[in-house]
Amino acid sequence: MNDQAIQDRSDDGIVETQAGPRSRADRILPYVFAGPAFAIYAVLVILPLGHTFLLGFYDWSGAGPMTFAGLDNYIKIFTDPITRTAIANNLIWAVLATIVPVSMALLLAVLLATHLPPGVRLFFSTVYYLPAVLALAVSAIIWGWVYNPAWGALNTFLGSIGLSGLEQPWLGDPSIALYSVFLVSSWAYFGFCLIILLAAIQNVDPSLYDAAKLDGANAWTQFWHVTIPGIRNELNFVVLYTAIEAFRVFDLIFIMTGGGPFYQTEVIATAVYREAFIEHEVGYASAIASLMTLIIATLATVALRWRERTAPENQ
Amino acid sequence: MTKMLNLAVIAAIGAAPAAALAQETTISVWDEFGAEPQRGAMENIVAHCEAQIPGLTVDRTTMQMEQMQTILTTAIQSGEGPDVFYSSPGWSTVGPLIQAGAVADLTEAYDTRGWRDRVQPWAVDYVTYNGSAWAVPYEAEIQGIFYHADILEEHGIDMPETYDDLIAAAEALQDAGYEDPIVTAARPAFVLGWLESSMLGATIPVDTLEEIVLNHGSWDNPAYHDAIARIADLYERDLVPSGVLAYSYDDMMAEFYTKSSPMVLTGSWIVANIDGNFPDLNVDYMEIPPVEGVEQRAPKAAGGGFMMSANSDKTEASLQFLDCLATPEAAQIWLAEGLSRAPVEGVDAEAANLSPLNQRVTEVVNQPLSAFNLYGVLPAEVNDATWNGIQAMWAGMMTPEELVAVKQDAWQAAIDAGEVIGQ
Repeated sequence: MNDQAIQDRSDDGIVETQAGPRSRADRILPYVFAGPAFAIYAVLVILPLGHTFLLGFYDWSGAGPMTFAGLDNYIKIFTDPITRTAIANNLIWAVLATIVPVSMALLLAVLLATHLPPGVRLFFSTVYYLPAVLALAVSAIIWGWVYNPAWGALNTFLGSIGLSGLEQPWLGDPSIALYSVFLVSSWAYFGFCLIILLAAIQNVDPSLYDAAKLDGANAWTQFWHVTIPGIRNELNFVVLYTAIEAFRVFDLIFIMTGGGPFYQTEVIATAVYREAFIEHEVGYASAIASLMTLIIATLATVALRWRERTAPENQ
Repeated sequence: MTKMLNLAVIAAIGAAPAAALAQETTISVWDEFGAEPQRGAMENIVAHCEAQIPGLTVDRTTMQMEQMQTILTTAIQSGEGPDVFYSSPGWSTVGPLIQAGAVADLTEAYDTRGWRDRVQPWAVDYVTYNGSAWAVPYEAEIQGIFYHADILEEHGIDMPETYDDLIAAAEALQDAGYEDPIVTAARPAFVLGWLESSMLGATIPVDTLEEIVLNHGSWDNPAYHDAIARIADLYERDLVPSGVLAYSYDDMMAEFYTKSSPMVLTGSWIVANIDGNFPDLNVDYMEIPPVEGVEQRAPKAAGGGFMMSANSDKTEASLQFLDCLATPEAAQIWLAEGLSRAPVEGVDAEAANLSPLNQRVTEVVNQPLSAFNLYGVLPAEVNDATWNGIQAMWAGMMTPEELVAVKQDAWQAAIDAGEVIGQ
């Protein structure tokens, strides 16, 4: 048998290609192409990750000698009330982020796709996407003004319509500050979800809706049994991508509240920053960062597995 | 005209002798003076020093302080850092660098180059930890209350002389329609450190504070309980904004500059901004007035200082540059052109043609006594716990007693870890 791929003609005349034994060069070639990219990835991602994980086993201020601390830093994550608050806040944020902006985007995408002519649809989808174009730092500053307790637009508006009882220090009340920031995040993010889901809905075969109508399906039934299955992959992507992004949230919180008041808006990323650069506890910050990486890696793995299992070719 | 007068003063003082370097040497200097008026003033100081020290070239890089603090440690550790850098010399910031051996000990330079005669003693103390001096302080600051003198005058309120006077004045202003008679902020948390330091300066005798800070005493004592209770009381009486926990530093200053609030708790770094941008405001300064039995002192701080990297291989050139900075000639330029006060003896404030506010602040800075600036003397984790604790106390999530306990726990942990001054 030679090294060439062998072409056979089957009984029905179709030419079939069989893969024969590959040459050594053929086997090595993919690794040669992937090698440079992997080397860059290893230097810029894998090595720093490993180094960060190892730093978590040391007591280190960021300068000078390191003292081996065993599992102390990793154990401290679960005994330190401030870090526990940060983890809890991040979980709340992740749950809300996968529900609120995605639901809003899905609802609007359905309305835009089914009730509006293409020109109007383009206009509204552009408008809704605009906040996503703004840098989060800019959004944070603008919304900081909106929320300002003394002269912010929100309290001024509430006062002007006779609802001064609802005026709040939106970023200063520990019970609502996290949700106030989250609202900004949703405002800035849902346009991204909308664009993806709108495109997905527009790709659903219209004949499926026609068939459903012939079977007597109402709007809800069409949505649940035609639209949702038709956009399942895109919806999965949006939800899982959103969950991953939720654990990376930093800039909005850092700019709008700095994690306060009294750590009540602290999330994992801001806790890492505070421990490393304000309190000079680089070892502990590395342990928290390793935890964050583990959570994100787990979510990413789940996402990839899910996609593999639900891909049409695997059904 | 001011610049000419300034040059004349420098000529009168006489240039300090400086030795030429053995060879042409370029030193790298990182500082934060990227905006006027300090940018131009520092350029002129560098030009002055380069002229005084033949063979010296200074390669300056400017960046924001926060940015520098995040990269400085790594840069010095990797050998890519500057020879000289400007940083807050407070223990919260440089303590870990000093303990790691990344900052050069300047004690010998202080002793042999005459710096102890030139740098004001309180400022030398401020940059001295565990018996060694680590910086040439270059930004003498005070904290306290800046107030619109015309508003107080309009309402017939004299400058308060006791703590009770201050509360009475604030309540009178509240009755006159000022919703927030004293404005402060909670973001960043260290803004509350200015309130804490000022309150401690007004309510706790300095020897009691020395016993706690320098001899590792306990914060769980009646004097500190009283100070924290007064901070709680300010909020309970609505003398600070009810939404203060949402206030950023910029919000606070906006409220003060627009005269929505007649008094603000901040520091002397606002003087250059007032002189440059709000010259029509009639602003004056006072410390938080003391309670009975406590001597009036402003919490002074060296808000910044020049330090030398321990692994600089251009030691002599770097030391000569620091030596030049610590001369009255350089400090005169810094005051007259940069509107900033280096705590260096022999500077002629009158010749600098300062505004009345700047003169007042400079007078207070030059007083020999100082209260403790806690940012400068306590580890970061102790301050962080306290200032976030004040937020919690104001939010009703912590009692004053619990806050004192939180501070003491953090303090004891820092002592046990060997992270406090004097260990």
